[in-house]
Amino acid sequence: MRRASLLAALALATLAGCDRPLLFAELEVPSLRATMPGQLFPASDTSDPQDWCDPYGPNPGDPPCIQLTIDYDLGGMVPILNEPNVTYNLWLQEVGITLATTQATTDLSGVQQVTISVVPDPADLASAIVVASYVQPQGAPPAQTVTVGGNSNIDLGPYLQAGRLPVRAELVLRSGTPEFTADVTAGFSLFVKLDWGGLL
Amino acid sequence: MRWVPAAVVSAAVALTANGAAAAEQPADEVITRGVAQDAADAKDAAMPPPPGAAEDLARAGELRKERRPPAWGLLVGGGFPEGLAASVVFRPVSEVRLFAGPIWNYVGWGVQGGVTLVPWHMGISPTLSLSAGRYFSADASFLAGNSSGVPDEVKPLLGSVSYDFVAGHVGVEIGTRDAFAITVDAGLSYVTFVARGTTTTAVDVNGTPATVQFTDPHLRGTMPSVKVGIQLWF
Repeated sequence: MRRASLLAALALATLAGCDRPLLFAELEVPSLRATMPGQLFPASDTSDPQDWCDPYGPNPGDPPCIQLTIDYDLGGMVPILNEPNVTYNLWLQEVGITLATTQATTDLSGVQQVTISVVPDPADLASAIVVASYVQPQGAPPAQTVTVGGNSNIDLGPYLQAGRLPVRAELVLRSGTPEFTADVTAGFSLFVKLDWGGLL
Repeated sequence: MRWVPAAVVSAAVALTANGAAAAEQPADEVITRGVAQDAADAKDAAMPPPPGAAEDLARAGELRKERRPPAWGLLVGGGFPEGLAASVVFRPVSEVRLFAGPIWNYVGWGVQGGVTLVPWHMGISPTLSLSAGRYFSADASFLAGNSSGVPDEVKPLLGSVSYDFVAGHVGVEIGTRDAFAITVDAGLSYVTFVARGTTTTAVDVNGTPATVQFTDPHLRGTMPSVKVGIQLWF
């Protein structure tokens, strides 16, 4: 009887020592790629201040810098993120901008620099946090895709608002570029934790 | 003969008596007690130990071996998450059982093993067990898209699935210690499930078409588990 009590006490102590809930589930996705097709990027000579990277700067059009705000509805793409008792971590691996097939421009050689930021407060651009950036190397051959490497040290989970990730892409253009449409693919790694004992 | 050694008398009684009281006393224990009593009596009488004590103890040892419960058995059963299992059971001492064997879950095969503690034996005996197992990589893609309820789009992820588990159970064993028993266990399992492959799903996000691609998802967690089985000893 004493042995059984001792074993039971050891088992309980082991369970109590864990920092996890007793009933939990974890989902780890090393590669999650979400593609939003047909995103319209303005021309480099856009006259709409909404498209300028810094509409209030001294030289908003020099160098030509255009911006695009994308509301990545990750909760709509991965419904578990909107479930109760779920916590998650999300790391950006890369962002790919791929030119759509029927375009006035044939490649993205005019794109000199790309910066992707998360904007926790869309009304306050100063709150933007750069999560990925790209500078086109000198002499790079013309390409239809620009791949922007992400900062995988930044957990984007806290920046999701109701499953949405507000993202701002800034493109510095080295030459005149007409308006173009591109598919924007974001590659993430995802870790989801569900305390499903709390659902009982 | 000044006195007949108590061990000899005890052994004779134990081996020949038909009485209920004698039958309840294992012969080896009776002999061992008798030898000890003889030694104590001899000491009290300031006499040397009676001859033949060593032979009596050897005989008691042989009898003890003969009355040991069967060491080997077979356990068949099923439950979650291990599926159907058949195990060879080895009992080094009566309170401890080691088991191992193959498992099957309709999709594939695996192996499992563990240890069960039975702190005391009665008609219904409590058990405490720890087990672990692994299902080898198998093709479960046939489950997708039919009446199983698995969405067709996850089919690419089911071409190579495997899972491991560790389970802790408390339970009862109903039956005899040496022949046949039914076991019922319940507890908690930690399961890790790995699917290899990539699946692409088209989703509609507020009227905007989008695609989501998952690669090599890995699911792990705890869940309640149960198992029932039948145990036979040889």
